Amino acid sequence: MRLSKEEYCMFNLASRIKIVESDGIFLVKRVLNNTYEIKLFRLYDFYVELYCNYRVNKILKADPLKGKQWLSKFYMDLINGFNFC
Amino acid sequence: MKKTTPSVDIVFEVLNYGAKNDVMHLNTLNTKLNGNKLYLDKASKEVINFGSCSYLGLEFDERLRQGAINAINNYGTQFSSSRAYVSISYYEELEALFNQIFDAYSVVTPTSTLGHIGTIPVLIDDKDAIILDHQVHNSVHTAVNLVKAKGVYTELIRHNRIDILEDRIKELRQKYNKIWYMADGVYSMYGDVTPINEVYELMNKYPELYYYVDDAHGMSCFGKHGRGYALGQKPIHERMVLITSLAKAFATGGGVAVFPTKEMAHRVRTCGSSLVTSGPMQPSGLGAAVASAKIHLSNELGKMQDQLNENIKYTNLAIKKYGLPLVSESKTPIFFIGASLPKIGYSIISRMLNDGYYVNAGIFPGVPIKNTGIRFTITKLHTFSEIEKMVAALAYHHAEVLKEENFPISKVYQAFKMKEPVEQKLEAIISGNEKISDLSVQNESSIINIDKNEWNSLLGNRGSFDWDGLKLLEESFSNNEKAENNWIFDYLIIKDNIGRPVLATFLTTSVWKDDMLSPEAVSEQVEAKRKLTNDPYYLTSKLVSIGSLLTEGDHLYVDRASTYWKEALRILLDKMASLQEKHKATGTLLRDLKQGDDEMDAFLMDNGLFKIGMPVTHLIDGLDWTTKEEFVSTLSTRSRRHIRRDVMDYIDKYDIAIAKNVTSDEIENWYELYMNVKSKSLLLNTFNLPFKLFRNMADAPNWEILLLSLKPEYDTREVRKPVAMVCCNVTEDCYNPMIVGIDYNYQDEFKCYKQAVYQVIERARILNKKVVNLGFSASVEKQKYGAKVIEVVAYMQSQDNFSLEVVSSVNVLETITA
Repeated sequence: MRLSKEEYCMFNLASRIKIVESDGIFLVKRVLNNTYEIKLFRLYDFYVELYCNYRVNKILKADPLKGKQWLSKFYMDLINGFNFC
Repeated sequence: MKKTTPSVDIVFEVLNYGAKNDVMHLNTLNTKLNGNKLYLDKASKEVINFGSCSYLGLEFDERLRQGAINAINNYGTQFSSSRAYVSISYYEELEALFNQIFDAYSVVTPTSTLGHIGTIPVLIDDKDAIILDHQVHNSVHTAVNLVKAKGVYTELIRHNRIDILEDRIKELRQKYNKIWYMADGVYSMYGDVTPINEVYELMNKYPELYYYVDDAHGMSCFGKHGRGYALGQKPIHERMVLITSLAKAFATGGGVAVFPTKEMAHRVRTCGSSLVTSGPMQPSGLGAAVASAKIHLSNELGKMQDQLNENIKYTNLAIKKYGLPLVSESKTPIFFIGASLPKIGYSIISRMLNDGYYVNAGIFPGVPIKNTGIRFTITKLHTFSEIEKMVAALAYHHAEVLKEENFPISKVYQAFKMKEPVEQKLEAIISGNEKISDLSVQNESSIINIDKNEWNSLLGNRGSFDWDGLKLLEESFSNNEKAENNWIFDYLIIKDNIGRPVLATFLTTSVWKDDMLSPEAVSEQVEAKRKLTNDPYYLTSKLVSIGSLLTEGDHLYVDRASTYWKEALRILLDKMASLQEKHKATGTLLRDLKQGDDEMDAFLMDNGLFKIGMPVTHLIDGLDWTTKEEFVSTLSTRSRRHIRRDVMDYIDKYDIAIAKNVTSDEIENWYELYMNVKSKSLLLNTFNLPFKLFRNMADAPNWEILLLSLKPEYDTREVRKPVAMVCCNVTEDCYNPMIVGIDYNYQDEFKCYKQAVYQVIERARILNKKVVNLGFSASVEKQKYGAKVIEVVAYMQSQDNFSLEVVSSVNVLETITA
């Protein structure tokens, strides 16, 4: 079921993770400080960042990207070859 | 014949109909259950259960299972002693845990129903009054009936109408010490909630107000420690009592009564009948309950509640996205999708079963019959995917069934008084999915626009509603001062594509007394209330009915040999529904239909009408005797004795005449005689007929007024007046006595009524009529004259069942002893 960004935001973290894992399309991943993994997903018509502390295997956030300007950050990283998968 | 209280009959008809349609009284085939999937006897495959009230899925928790097993191992399968004597130790532990959960004082009861039965009679006496919310759970009504029988004043108010509640409090506080408002925390059909903040405000304003809440469906799902919806919003008020269930989300069976003070709890614990004389909760339930209570007091419960809440949110979104008519947006796990007619609801449920989803029928008496719907519940065990797929299937089948039944979605929204979304309206216009009929419909508002011969050929000889009879009724029941004496007439003739009549009838829209078909004892009480409140329109409703309040007989011509008869009936029902809306009537009624017509029964039930009993009617045919003795010889041996003794022996005391060239005084005398009879009988409780009718009958060529006067040697009054009169309508084949009047000063000595009945039959014979329609009432008496008893029924559809429930709630004990 397609959700808008606002509808997605109605849900708590556990539900958001379920939604992203079920309906999201994984795009790219970044690693931060050797502790955090940030995965970018395309979900319906917006993007979601999953913040995971991979040392304790815990997802901390699953928030929508605030705007397309943040998307370019990922692409820039990709272009610059910065810690991408 | 004594009328039965209609509500039990209606409930039986509706629920039995559901069972016949394989959507109720189902059975599981599973040997083991471990989740929300079931095998059901009427489903072709495994289904996901969307009908469970175990909202947190705790029944499968290993700790609860083990708690039950340990308790059985420790205590056996039961501890068979009243709590008045000995309770096993689990009770003390459990009640202590509940005191923590509710932050109040608790008494464990075997079930929530027994909780009500144990609590209400202890706390409420005849110096108190009870106001029940219309949709409060039936188990509360059950307990309230116990105190009603002891004289406690009780009334019903419309659902969640706090404005009406306040008005009633203002009035009742003058007379009663305590006023108990009884409501559910979470309502079990629509999933809406009690307006607790507003009720608390009223409690703060009116010290007489007490709040009694059944929060069975709120338990565990809401509030700190799962204390429920009500106590999750507010701490327990000093004038509040709460009963809740352990058989839903709590997952163990049993009930709890919660009190603001130790004294109140102790009083109920000591005196409550279900705590003294009923069996206790058994060890297995108690062991599981202790385990469940500990989970409720742990951090775990919050997470479970969150999960459930997320599922509820997801469901609300899915319903919105798939465009289903959700009756009220739910913050609870109960959802109700409108379907309107029972046949539509049952069809959708059946299809869902075949698709792998079990959902409930939301049906009368839980909701008004025309407000049937699909009720489903969401638990923590459902996944988002299961929810979405179920909602998608429901949306699909909902649309398909409406299309099959040629029932526009706008009618569903109308039935529930909901605003139809604009997109759906547009889609309906574009798709133009209403089938065009082959039938032609003539609809007139006066009989003068109907061909007399055609009308009389279809309906002229069924009763007093031939063309001339209806013209008189139209003249008599219009332009009167009182609302109840102004009827709106509609005439319908439906023909097939070659002009053959398939259906013909006439409709009247008029004010009826809601207790008309109730037992006399009930009508007595309702009339007393009308006098007391000086409100003659208390418990009255405007109804659109076939026939009228004055006519009797088979008002509905239907050519059952025609292939179009059901379509014609549907058109009639649609017409009645549109008149109902136009005239703001509360219901529609088809009356005087034959008992035992299963095909008609099924059709009308499918279309949202429920059957109610009517008094039997009577007719005499075979009027081919020529002397009194011949007449008597046609009767049974016992009846002959009665007729000779009570009728024939008195014939010579009477002068019989047909009224001619009458004066106003004579008409007034007839009206007086009519009122004598009217004021004595509540068998069919109706409004008084207008005087104008009697004046019109006096002048009408197709009416006779039969007058019975005593001969001068028996009536020594200065002016001899009739001691009985009968207003009779005369059609080609029938003689229809419609109104009778008696002077009761002479009744005992001269048996005026019995003589009048005989003279009517005799007059019919003289006029060579084939049938005398003797109508309702006095069944035993009429049978003595050889009258045949005809059982008839009525079918009704009501916008809501509020009035029916108010009438049904009139003191049952008095009804039984009447």
